[in-house]
Amino acid sequence: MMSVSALKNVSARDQWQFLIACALSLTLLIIDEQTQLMTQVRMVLSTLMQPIEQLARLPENWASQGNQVITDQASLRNEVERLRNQLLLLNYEKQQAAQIVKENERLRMLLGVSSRINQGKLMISSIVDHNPSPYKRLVKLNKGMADGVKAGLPVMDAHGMMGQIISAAYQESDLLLITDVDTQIPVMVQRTGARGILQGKGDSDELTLKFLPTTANIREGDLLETSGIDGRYPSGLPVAEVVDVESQAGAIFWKITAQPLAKLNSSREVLIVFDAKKPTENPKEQP
Amino acid sequence: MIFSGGEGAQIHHQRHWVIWLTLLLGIIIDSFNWPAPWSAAIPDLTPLVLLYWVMAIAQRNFIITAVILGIAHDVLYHSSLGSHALIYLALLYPMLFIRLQLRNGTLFQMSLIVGLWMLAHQALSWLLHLGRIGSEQLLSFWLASLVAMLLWPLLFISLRSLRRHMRVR
Repeated sequence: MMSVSALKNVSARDQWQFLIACALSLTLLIIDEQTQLMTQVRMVLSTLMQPIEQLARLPENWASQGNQVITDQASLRNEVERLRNQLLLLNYEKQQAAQIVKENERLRMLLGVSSRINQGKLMISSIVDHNPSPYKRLVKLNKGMADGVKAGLPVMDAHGMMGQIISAAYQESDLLLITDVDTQIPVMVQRTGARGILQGKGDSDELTLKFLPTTANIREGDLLETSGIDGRYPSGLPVAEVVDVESQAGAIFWKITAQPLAKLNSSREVLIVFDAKKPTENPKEQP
Repeated sequence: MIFSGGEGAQIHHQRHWVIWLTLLLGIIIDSFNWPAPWSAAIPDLTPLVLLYWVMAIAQRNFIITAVILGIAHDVLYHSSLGSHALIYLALLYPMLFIRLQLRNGTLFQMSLIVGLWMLAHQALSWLLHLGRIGSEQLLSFWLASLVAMLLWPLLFISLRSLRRHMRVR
């Protein structure tokens, strides 16, 4: 056995290794923060880490499967009945909506305004996991590059905008929720067309509507939808409802709090929106 | 203990996979989805497991291991690549100086140091994320170091019996 005294000090080799490791990590950090070079690397790494995450998910999956087995036949029959009724209603509403869309397009054509209704392709995906990090509002979806999912696609649930895909691995992807501090969505007030930026608070399930001047007309209950100005989100997607409007003396902008329409904490199935028409792309096509 | 060449090589070979297996287990437990209000109070297990091996295997410096674990952590938690490698390195380095004293201390002394060490871990990761943490999770976030302190004796004893059983030296 080696003598203890020989081990006591950190050797010069250890010190060099430490310095080099620090320099490499710092370089990696700077490259990842400042450039897009690491997107591919991260994609490969997260595909490699997928088995680990799936293992970590097993206990939760077993628990939910146990619950499913316990659900009895009678309640399943009730559920089927309820869904059938709902489907009937939805089909009726869908027909009406289709007529309204046509009428709307015709009226817009008469007015000479291009349609802002997006008829993107949708893909149903399930939320399989929540990110364990307390810093980020992220969830994991079970569709990835193999299904054509890529970073930047908007994601909805039945009620409104959920967020945006920020990275895709081979069979899974990460969805950044609209409540994350890093999310900023250009929106407009559905009733008046006034524009502002909607930002997540990060520490709660609420959003802040910024840059709406105090001269603009706004009240509680107003609906906010994407304005599509930045070209990252298609226009016309419902996002949030205004729940609180405050004005401070001398302030130029309202202090507005909004609540997401999407059921961010309870939705299991979500819709990834593909090929949505982006309004900013149109002017480029016509020089 | 004195090994003959062949036996030593065999045991050297054994050593690696047991260490990596426990670290892998740590990563898996870290990516568990704990119930919401207390999820932040559960400390990261991977640095604690790493700390045990740093103390137990004094012949290795574990610097490369720390970098690999840090990057794995960044991929899982979706933080900037390299940020946790830096945190782990900054935490590992002072431990390399005091690991022999720490190993010879009582369980209580060890737990105390581990609690402080975890507090440093939380502080570093808090700084790195610019304090972006929900106010409802803030208390449990800082409680994590206390939980780590209480958890340490259990972790230490189970890893030590594993090491002795597998004869990892």
